[in-house]
Amino acid sequence: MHWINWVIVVVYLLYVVVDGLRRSEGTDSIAGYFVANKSLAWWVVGLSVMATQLSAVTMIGTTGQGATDGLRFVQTYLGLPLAMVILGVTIVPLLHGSGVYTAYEYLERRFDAKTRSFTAFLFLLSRGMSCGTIMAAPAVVFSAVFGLPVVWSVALIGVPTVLYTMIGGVQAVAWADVKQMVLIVFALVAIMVVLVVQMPISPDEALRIAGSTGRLKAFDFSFDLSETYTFWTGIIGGTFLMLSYFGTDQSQVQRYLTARSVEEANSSLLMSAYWKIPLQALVLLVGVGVFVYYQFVQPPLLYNPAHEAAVTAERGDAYAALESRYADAFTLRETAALSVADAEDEPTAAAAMEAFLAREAQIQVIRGEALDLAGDVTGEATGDVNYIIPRFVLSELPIGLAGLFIAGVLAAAMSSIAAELNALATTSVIDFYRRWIRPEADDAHYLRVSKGATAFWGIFACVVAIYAATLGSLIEVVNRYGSFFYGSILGVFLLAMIPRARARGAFLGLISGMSVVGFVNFGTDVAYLWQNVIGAGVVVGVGLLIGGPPKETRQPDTELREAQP
Amino acid sequence: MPSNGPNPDQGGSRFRTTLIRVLIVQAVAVALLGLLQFVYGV
Repeated sequence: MHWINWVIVVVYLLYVVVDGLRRSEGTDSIAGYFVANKSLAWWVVGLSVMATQLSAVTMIGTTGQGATDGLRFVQTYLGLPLAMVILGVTIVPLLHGSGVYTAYEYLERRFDAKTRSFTAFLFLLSRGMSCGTIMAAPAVVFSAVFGLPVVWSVALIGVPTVLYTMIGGVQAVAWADVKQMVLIVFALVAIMVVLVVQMPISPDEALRIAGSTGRLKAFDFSFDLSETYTFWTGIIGGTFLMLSYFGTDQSQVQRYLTARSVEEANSSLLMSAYWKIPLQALVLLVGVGVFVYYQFVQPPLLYNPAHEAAVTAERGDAYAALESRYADAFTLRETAALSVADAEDEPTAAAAMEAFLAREAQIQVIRGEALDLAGDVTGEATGDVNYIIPRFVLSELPIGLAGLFIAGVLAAAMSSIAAELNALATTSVIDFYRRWIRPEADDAHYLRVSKGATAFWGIFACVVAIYAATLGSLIEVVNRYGSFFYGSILGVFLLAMIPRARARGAFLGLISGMSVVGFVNFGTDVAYLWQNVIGAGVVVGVGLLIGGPPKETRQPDTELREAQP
Repeated sequence: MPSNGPNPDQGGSRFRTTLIRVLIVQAVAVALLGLLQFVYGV
């Protein structure tokens, strides 16, 4: 990468750390450290919520998915706006108004300590591991693209993030998110503008080529429970997923607990409701644009440069033969793509499209052979979707913009990781340390422990990220089981809003919900978005059926006030 | 219940207003994506 691009990346990293340190003022209490003394404006919280959700995987993986698969992934977010509005009149006032630091703390007030600790434990387990994986994904790509050891890539992302999160608490995280969100959107818009400017054909012709391959098919109205991306899965399953994620996941809940009032917390969530679908569409359209661009500029046969180098070194002759076939096939496909773009009437367009799709299939066959070869040589998984956009950025974007995009990917990774670290530390300290180990210590003590907990989770995430390749199967298991929790935990919060629900019903409902989702996951081919609906439904059903004795002792009001930040 | 929770009537009215606004914005976004699919899709 050009030195100017590196300068941009380094300046960005330094700025984030220095600004984080500056924001640490006013965080000398746990209320300041964990919920910014409920002092943040709605737009700061709103941008923080959006930045947290937009990870490096979105920047490199989802754009890559747009290039290979088109727009249909956008359907996953169709339920988000409705979920945000529902949360605004249910869980947000409940949590913000009750003065809790964590969502799980509320469950003890409503049910019992067992339900609180169990849900908090599930959060720590799933998010502790996923924090490592969201760091590993961009680190592995950076490592391959820049030829850095994975440890260095992890350090590049992890060290500054842990520093500003540990020292500045949620305030530093939220303000860093604001700048990171601006940088991310700017980088995405810039890459889109460059694509449009550098494309050798008009936008209308480009859309015609993308459309002929089905990449502009954003909606699928078929009602198939086994299909992950359909309109109905997105509207129904997506609503439940977003309700769970934004309503019960501490990494999100903690964002809006920092808002000045319930109204400002709601406004911050509505910012996501308004902008999420257009933003996600932009991310995918960047990928679609790169696909069309590569119809006229020959892309590498293997996008992963590390695999490309390994195959060239060990099976040079076989790879050279594949590259030669690839170059010929590319020329034929380019001609076919131009015919699609130039077609003036329907019959000509249909014939041109058919020829183009045949050429495209030929390219995919050769790519498949190259990927198999890479698999033989490296012994690694060969999917290279995550490398499409980084390769495009480094070879096609002007100097400066490439650095900006890489900084944007780092920003996306850091904003998600910082929120997770902050939430993991908060849950560890509030739901376990203060609840079970040292309930009576002073604020300064909890603050020290909180900073220690942030550092611990940061180091834990870095270790998981470094060993992500060897921990592959373990991480997959945790991620897979993690999806069992979401719908079921949402069910517990729904029960909390039903007056006749009791602690025993909530706890047994939670176990039942997770068990049923486990069975559905392993025993059927129902798509994962529906599992959230099933989990929440089972918990509420079982919880109401079982019931149990009413909570005998209520915490006195003084105790509640004491806990308020 | 939280002391600074919304008044049910105000909350209901705000919910409806917000819901309508969000649905309009989303309808426009979805319509634009649908238009792309309709015009250029196969």
